[in-house]
Parts: sequence; C-alpha cells; structure tokens
Amino acid sequence: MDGIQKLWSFFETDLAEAPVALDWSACGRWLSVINVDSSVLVVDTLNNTELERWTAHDDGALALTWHPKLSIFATGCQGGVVKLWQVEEDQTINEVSAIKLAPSSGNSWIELLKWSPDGKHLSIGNGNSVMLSTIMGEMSTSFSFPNGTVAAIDWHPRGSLLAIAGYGGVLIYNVLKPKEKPIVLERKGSLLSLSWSPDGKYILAGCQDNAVALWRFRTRKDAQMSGFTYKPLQLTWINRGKRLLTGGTKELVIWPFDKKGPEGRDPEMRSFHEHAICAIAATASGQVIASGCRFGRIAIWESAGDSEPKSWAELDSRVEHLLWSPAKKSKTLAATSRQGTLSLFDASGII
Amino acid sequence: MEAKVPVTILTGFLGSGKTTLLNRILSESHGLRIAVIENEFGEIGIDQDMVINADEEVFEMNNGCICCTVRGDLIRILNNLARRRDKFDRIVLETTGLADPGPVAQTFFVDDDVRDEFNLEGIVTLVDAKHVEQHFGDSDEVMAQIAFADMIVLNKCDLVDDVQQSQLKERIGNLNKMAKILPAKMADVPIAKVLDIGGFDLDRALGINDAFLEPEYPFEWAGIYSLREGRNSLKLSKGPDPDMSLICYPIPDQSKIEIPELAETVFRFWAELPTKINNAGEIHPRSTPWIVDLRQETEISVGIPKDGTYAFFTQHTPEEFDLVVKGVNGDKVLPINDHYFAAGHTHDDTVTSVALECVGDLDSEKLNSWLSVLLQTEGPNIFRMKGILSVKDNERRMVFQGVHMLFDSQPGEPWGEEDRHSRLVFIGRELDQDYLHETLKLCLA
Repeated sequence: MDGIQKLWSFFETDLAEAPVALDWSACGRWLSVINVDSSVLVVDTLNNTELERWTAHDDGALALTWHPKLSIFATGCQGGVVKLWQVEEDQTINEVSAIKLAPSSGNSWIELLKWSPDGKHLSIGNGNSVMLSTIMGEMSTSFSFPNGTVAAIDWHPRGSLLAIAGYGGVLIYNVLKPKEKPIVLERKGSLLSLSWSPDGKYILAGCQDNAVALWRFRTRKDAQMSGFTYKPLQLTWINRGKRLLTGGTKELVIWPFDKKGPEGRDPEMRSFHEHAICAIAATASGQVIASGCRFGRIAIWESAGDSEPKSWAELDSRVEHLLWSPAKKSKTLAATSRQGTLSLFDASGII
Repeated sequence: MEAKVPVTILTGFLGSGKTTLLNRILSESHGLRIAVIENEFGEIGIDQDMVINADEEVFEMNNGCICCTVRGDLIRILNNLARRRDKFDRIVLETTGLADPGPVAQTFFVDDDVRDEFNLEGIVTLVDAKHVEQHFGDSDEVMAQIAFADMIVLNKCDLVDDVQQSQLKERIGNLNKMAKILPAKMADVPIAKVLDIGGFDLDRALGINDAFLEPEYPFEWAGIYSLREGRNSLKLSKGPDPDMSLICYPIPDQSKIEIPELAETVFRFWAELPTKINNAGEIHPRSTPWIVDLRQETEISVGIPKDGTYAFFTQHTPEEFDLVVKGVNGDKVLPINDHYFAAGHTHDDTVTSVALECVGDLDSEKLNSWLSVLLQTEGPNIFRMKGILSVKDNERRMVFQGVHMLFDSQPGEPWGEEDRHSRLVFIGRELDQDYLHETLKLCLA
C-alpha cells in the first residue's frame, strides 16, 4: 500500500491473552473485549482509559455481547454460565445475574450470545439448542437444533423470528409462538455463520465448504455463492443492505442485493490484501469499511467507487476483530490481534 | 509463521487400553505440555490440565462424499485451542473405541484454519492382543483403526503366548505394513515413542520395517549358517501349523551373501515339487523345498556334504517353531546373518498395504492427473497414503500424505547427491498393486 497514508493507533493495550470477542456498547462509549482466559477489559473511550479488568468466569470464555440499548453486556463461557454485567452511572461494573445452564447433549459450551433487536431477549447458543433469557437473566424458552451444535444465530431485523444455523441448514423459530414448528431451510454440509439482510428478505450462511448459502425468505428459494478460497465467515451488509461484502478470499467481494438480487450478476472485487481476509467491519451507514487479513494488515476504504484504500493500519498478528464505534459522527475503529493487542484507530481525518 | 502444533490421534477398540495410555501420558514427567481432547464434550480449564472433551459430531461436506466427512466439534475445539497455543506443546486426541478414524484425520486436511495451525503428526492405534482376533471378521472399525495407524501398540501381550503374538503381528503387518508395532502390557510403551512418531517421515517409517518395500515371498525368514561336513540337525517344536516348507541351499561364496538377492533365486526354487519329511527323515542342501511335518516336536537330520556356508529359508519365522540349528557335535549353531521378509497374505483380509517404488523423476502434470483420477476412483478404498516423490525440476523431495480423497504435499529435504526415486504407500481395501505400479510408471518424466 505504497503512497497510502498509514493510520496509527491512538490507544493500544496488551490483553495478555488471545481475544475471543469484542463489542461496543450501544452508545459507543464503552468497548469490551473478553479473552480466551475469561479476562474482560472494558475501555471508556470517552477519555480512552481502561475502566476495569477482571476475570468473568472460571472457565474459558467464548462470547460477549452488549445490549442494543442499555449499558449491559453478557458474557458466556465453556462451563455453561452466562453472566450479565452492567456499567453503572458511577462507572463501576457490577454482575447483574449469572445463569448456569444444564448441558445440552453433553455440551455445556456457551458459544453464541445475541440480543434480539428490541433487546427483550438474549439468545444463548448452547449445544443443540438456543435458549432465551430476559434482561433480568430469567430463562424463558428453548429452541432445539437436532442436527448438532448450533453454529450461528441471527434475529430478523424486526424482531420475533430467530434463525439458527448449523449442520444441515437453518431453522427459523417464531419466539412469540415457541410451540410452532420452525421453518426449515435445508442445505447439505455445515453452516458456520449467519446473517439476515437488513430488509429481512434474505438469509445468508457462510459454509464449511467455502461457499455462501442464500435463501429468499418469502419464497424459500435457495442459491449459492461460491468461488471462495477459505470459509467465508464474514457476511457484512453495506449500503443499507443493497450490497453484501464477504471474506473467504484475498479479495473483498461485493455482491449486489438491490433490484432482483445477486443471481446472474457479477460481484465487484477489491484487491487490497495479499493474504486471506479474516475480519470485516462497516460503519453504520455502510459507507466506510475496514478489512483485516491473517497477517495483521488492515485496509480502510470507502464502499463507493473502486479506488484504492484511504488508509491502512497494521497489527502485530492476525486480525481477530474489527468493529467501528456506533456513536454518531464517530470514526473510531477498534481492532484486536491474535497475539492479544487491542488497538483503537481514529479515521476521522481521512474519511 | 509459528510452527504448527503437532497432534497425535489415539485410537483403538473398546478395552484396548487407550485410557491407560492416556493416563500415563498425562501423569508421567516427559517435560511436554500436552492438551488432551477426550471423547465427551466438557470444559476447558483455565489453569489446570488442559483436558477437553469432544462431542463426536461427524459432518459430511456438501459434496456428499463420505471421504470428506469431518468432525465439526473438533474444528471448534481446535480453533479455540489455536488461541491458547502458548499454553501447550502438543495435542493428544483420543477417539471413542467405535470411532472411524477417517473423519478425525480428515478434519486436519479439510478445514483451513485447522490446517494452518495444526499438524497431524501421527495416529496411534491400541490393539488388544487377547481379544482383537474376534473383531477382525465383524468390525470394520477395528480394521480401519489398524489401517489408519502410524504406530500400533499391541497391548495386553502378557495375555497371549509368543506364537499368538507372532501371528497377530503378521496379520496386523499384512493390514498395515507402514505402521510400527510395539508390543506392550498395560500400555507400557515409552511415551516419547508414542508422541514422536514422525508420521509423515516415510524414510523413517521405512527404516522401522526393512521388509516394507520388498516383494512378498512365500518365506518369512532366512538364516545363513556356517556348517561342517556331516550330520547336522534342525530342531523344531510343534507349531501353529501342521507343517512348514523350507529350503536348505548351499552358498558358494560367503563374501557375496546378500540375503535379499539370494531370495530371488530361492523364490524360483520354491515352486518346485516339495518333498515331505518327518521326524525320522533327513534333508540336504538342494534347490527344491522340503515340507517338514510339525504335528509334534521334530528334530530332522541335515546332511552337509562338505564344510561351507548354507542358507535356510523357512515359510514362517523361527520364533513360531523355536527353530534351532545344531552342528555335527550337537551344539547350537547361531546364524552368521539372518533376514525377515514381509509376510505373504495368509488371511482373507481385504485391507492391505501396497508399497510402490519408482526410480527416476516423475512428471508433475502426469503425477497430478494420476493422483486425481486415482483418488476420485479409489478414494473411498484408500485409508491412508504417504509418499516421498522425486518430481522433475524439483530439487527437494516432495512429501505427501493423505486420507481417503484428501491429500497434502510439502517440500522435504533436498535430494543432493542421492539417487532420485519415488516411494509411495497406500493402505486400503482391495487395492490392485500391479495396476498402481504400472500406472505410476506412466508418470515418469
């Protein structure tokens, strides 16, 4: 990336362990990262200070997610425990509740945590099922995935439909009618990631066999996007859902989802990386993208046009997570590396 | 790039001693930090011993080929462990007794992230010497576990006699010529040997078993003796078979004794009409075989016409019949040299090992086409394959190994001044050695 301005981090800290999850609070002030040893760090990005570090679980950590509206976040671990934590007004962090789940099919790992868009439900992926918890940590409903361990979950943008993916396809449950049979979207092979389009029309899944499976929700018509070198786990919607950005290769691939959809239309390609892309983040507007590769290089670019990246940054090892601050007018990018570094970059001067 | 984490798969039928060996691996002081993946799902401790339990979720890939089944739970566990690789030096992965090792091994070839971080170093199969015979006929899993192995720990050898052990070794050797067989009781094999298999090192594997690439002969052993003129004798105990063929053959020039070369000559004699001999009989050096009655302990005379060097080629190994050669004064005579040959296929097992050797360079395009067609057509029948290949215009050895239809190759040591040749081993069901050999030769540059 000769001739392109390098972006230097304005905040950097050693996490001491490899990070497993990174998330911003809805207001964009707090940033949390949980590491493989269950140590949690909360950074107050108002003044760029470490608010607190502590060990959240007795077992290895697997998941962390902030509530979509409140200053609460949830963490999950391999011991089947989900904890809810709240950042109080005085900036202290308290444990709100702890839920110990019974092992599902012998598997007690809490690998997935995802809040419903309205924040009423926390969906918890636990072995062959997804359980729902309230904001108070009370368990309500459980949805099974008989084919195996749940690999991914995503909520319909308008709330009540919960999609669960894993081996053999996707099950879609209506959480308002939990006794109803789920909608079944079958696919041979193992599905690993899941994303509902912002308009709710499409459901996409990144697959073990280096493809993206696609369903039109209304007609259940399925299709496949292939040609990936690696597992295309990154499914990032940009331009308000009109385009989809995928990883899984050295090239960034942008698929058209406007008009009649991607079938029969060529995707756009961006060749900004020399190594496979393993993290992608888009700003809320979807206009600014950060993409990171296995060797620590981050490209920052605009989705419009096909110009070169606006800037680039570098981490000490594989890029694990990239996430733009959701705060209005913020251009802060959070990034973690496999070796355990959390970095914050300010892209406001370049985009 | 950091070095990949070596992984050893520990497999074996129910009751074969896997847990005993695993406990030894975990408790003995070998200086290695080992993460163990067991066969039931559980938890990873943060500070305590890293014992992780798996859930045995076998996933087929989208192409529906059974050769591409993988273990989804292992992918998740291994990717999680990749984030903690500074905490351990290697991984031992235990399968359930009924598990097919295929999906476990294939996981290391199919998943990119796993392939980037981990190196399948070897598969160790524990075999219960006392009870495995009863599973040979009715358990595909036992056959597969043996066929997949880089090392076989023949456990509970204290519960079988030497003859049974020898027969078992022979049968296992027929199934998988590539694996080293370690006899054991209470899984008491050196941990370092189990963990440092060098599964991809075909040269080393060949070094373990000299008979590996030799053709199969109707004899399993040959011994060279210096005998004096007169009545020597051959003492044989009652063995597992009622009789045994042998040839006593004079060697004119002792300085040129190369048993494998002599074997080619004796092999031609073996087809001659044999002479039956019993306890009262006498044999003498000649170019036709004898069949010795072994329904009871036997001591037959060996008439030696003049002082010299003589070879005995026997159908079975001397251990099976407690073979002793006695000189003219009745004293035991030890061989100057002896050699064990690969046992012929004496059982009906459809699982076999095929070893191929080809002198010269292979053409890379022809080789790729050959492998592609071979794996597409024979992939389901091929459990394991390994090879060190000499490819034209490539200064280094090409080391490849695979499972069913999946294979991986990497550059090995430079050839330097050594003669360039290719060696491959296939272990699988109903493999056609002649076809494989002839078609490989078509890949020569």
